[in-house]
Parts: sequence; C-alpha cells; structure tokens
Amino acid sequence: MKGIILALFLTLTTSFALADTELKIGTAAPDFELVDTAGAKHKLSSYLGKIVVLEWTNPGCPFVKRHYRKGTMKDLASTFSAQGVVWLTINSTHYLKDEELKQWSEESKLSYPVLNDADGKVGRAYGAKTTPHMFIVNKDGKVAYSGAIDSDPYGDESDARNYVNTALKEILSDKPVTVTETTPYGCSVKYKS
Amino acid sequence: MRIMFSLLVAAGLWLFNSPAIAEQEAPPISASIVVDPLERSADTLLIGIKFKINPGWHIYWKYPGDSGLPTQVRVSVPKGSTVSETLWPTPVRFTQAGGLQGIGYEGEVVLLNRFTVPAAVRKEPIKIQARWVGCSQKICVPGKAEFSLIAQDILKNSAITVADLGPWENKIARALTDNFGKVTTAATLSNLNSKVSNHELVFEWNKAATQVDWLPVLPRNFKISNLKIETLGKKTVVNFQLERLDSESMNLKELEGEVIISSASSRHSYSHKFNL
Repeated sequence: MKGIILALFLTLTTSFALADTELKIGTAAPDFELVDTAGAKHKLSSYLGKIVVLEWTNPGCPFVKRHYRKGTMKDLASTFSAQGVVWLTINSTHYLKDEELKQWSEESKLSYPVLNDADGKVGRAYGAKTTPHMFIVNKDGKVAYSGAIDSDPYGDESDARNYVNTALKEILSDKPVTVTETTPYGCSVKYKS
Repeated sequence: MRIMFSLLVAAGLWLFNSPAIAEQEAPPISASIVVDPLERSADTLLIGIKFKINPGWHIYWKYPGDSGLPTQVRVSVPKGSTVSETLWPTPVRFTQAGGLQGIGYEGEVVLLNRFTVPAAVRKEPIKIQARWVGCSQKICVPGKAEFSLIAQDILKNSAITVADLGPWENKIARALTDNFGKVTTAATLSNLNSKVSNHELVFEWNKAATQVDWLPVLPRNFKISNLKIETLGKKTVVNFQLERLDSESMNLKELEGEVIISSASSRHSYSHKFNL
C-alpha cells in the first residue's frame, strides 16, 4: 500500500469585529423608547423635528465625573435648550439601578432626563463605546455627530475644542457640521456580557 | 563613603474617586522609576517607568483599541541632552466589558527611554511624567506620576535601586528585516470615499508561522474596522478598513504596525511601517 502523505497546513484566521453596531453619519438614528428616572417614557422618534443630543454616561466613570465637576454637559444642555435642543443622558451600565441614577441626577441637579438602558440594547444599537460618548441627531432623525465631547481626554488643555458645542452651533445655523466624527474617550461602557 | 543617591521622586498619584456606586479600591496601578546600571557608556542612561497593575486591571498601549487612552510619557531633559522616543514592550489584546477590544498591559510593564546626558549637565534634573488610565471590567481610574532624576548621581551609584532592564528591552518589537520575513504587499484595495479605504498587507515569513497577530498604531480620530488576519504556512494576509473620522485631519501617508508571531513557547514581535 502506498503510503499517503498528507500535508497538513494550519490555517488560522482571526477576525476582529466590534460586538456593537458602527453607526454611519448621515444615516437614520436607531429609534428607541426608554424610561427616565422619573418614570417618564422617551421615544426618540417623538422628537423628530428637534435636534437631540444623546450622552452616554456612567456616574462612576472618572471622565464623566470630571466633566460634571466642570459643568461641561450641563452648561451645554442649558445653553442650547433655549434654542430647542433636547438633551438625553443614557445609562447602559448593566449594574446601575434606577435609584442610583435618580440619586445622581438629583445630586447633580440635572435639568435633563437620565434614561436607563441597563440591558444595553440601545447602547449597542448606537455603538456607544465609552462614557462619555456623544451623538447628535438632526431634526430629520439622522446622525449628525458621533464621538468625543471634546479634544481633551486628560482635561488639561487650555485650548480644547468642544465638538458638540461646535456641531450644535453649525446645525442651528443651517451649516454643514465640519467635524462629524471623532474618537470617543472615556471608560468603556460596562455592557452586560 | 557611600554616595547618597539623590533620586527625587515626586509621585503624585491623581486618583479620581470611584463613586459610592462602585467600591473604592486602593490605587490599582502604581508607577516607579527603574534605572539600568549596565548602560553602555558614561553618557547614556536607560530609564524605565515600571507599572505594577493589580489583577483584573489593565493600562493601555500607545494605540488603546476600541476604548481607553494611550499611556503617556513626557520627558524633559537638560539642554544638550537627548532622549529617545518611549520604547513600548509588545502589548496584549484583552476584551473589555461588552466585548470591546483593548490593547495594553496587565500585571507589570516597564516603558523605556534612552537618554544621553553630557557631563556638563549631569547635575541638572531629568523630569519624567507618566499619565495613564487603568481599567477593570467595572471602572476606570486615571493616574499620573512625576519624577525628577539627577543623572550625575545615577551614574556614580550603580548599586542604588536599579534593575536589569534587558528583559524588557527584549520585549520591544524589533524592526522587521529579511532575517525574519518581509512585507511583500501593502496595497490599498479600494477607496470607498475620501475618508474610508480598504487595505491589504501580505507578510511572508522565513519559517511557517502558526499564530500571527497584527496591531496597528493609529493616531486619534482614525479607526480600523473589519480587521481580518489569515495565516497559511509562511504567509499572513491582513485585511482592514481604515477610516479618517475627522474631516480636518490629513489622510495618513504611512501606517505603523506591530506583527506578533506566537507559539506555545515564544512570542516575537516586529515593527514595520508601510505607505498607504
């Protein structure tokens, strides 16, 4: 019997893909309905015709804490709410409970709702990676910005650019958003595994 | 008489409080200076920042992956001195909460810098600042440490708190040369638009490789997705999509990467750059 020699080739294929969606700028923002810490429901599509800012948060994240000590998000929300911009803060950290988020909201004296997405479905639909991770949804329901709140991850640059501030001003002036996407920085979103 | 080594360590750990929501732990990452006494000439120094990282925590490589921030090292040296770029031991991949991929270090790592300090300025301080973000599956904690060193004292007292940094030097990727293999193809397969392009790299190795990984080094506001690495015998094909997120950034003209070849008993890494 002839010996049959088998040449074994090892093929190793490795693919790396995010578990979450990668939203494209200019596409429709995924609709969702979440409940805030006061028990009110918020459906994104009900805000059609308005500019909506979605802020992914985790009160325990040092980056979020730094911005809330500085008032970055609160000041922006306050400034732009006068111009009809809706600000929604979303939690996708799986272990945070409504009571904890409510306590944080009250202590921080937030004027905007905190929505609980503890099962992470909305966060994953948006591809939210960090806290904070910011999205702006235009009046037509399309994603106009995705990424970092600003250009200063360590919080020590005197000339940091606030991307959300700039984008909102441009949208409100009917100008194209010049910086539509940046790399978000912060703690990784603690999704349920 | 033993010469006192005036190593001034001003380590300020900037620790942001973790919330009442998550339990506060002792600082999970500490940084200290180590000096290699076996350095090559009177003017040169090999200095490392050693990070001790608690189990379950990690810090990030110069390219952190899906989230996190690169560990930063900033150095100022006396006039007339030189300092190399920071030398990074080859990192590992890890999976963070929610399946997000990170690239960095666990356990312990020493980041290195080579200094040349002429005799005339050896009494003047070398200042080193390190900043990092340490993360567990639940929380992230930024940290910072600052050090001031006097080269003259380091050189005179080689017995003072020093360490052989050779093992860490060995973990730094070597330049990819023909002794190990080469990049035979670095192609842009398609430009989907002005910001997004698909690329292919082909490596050919001198010996068959079984486990090959490739780590890109991306600046901020660039993203790699659809990364696929396929190895067959002596050939590895890497495909990826590169996207420039910020319309104001220039397109990259070249991309740096590290290719890591692993087996059950060894791990070798090689750095390379290729034109886009």
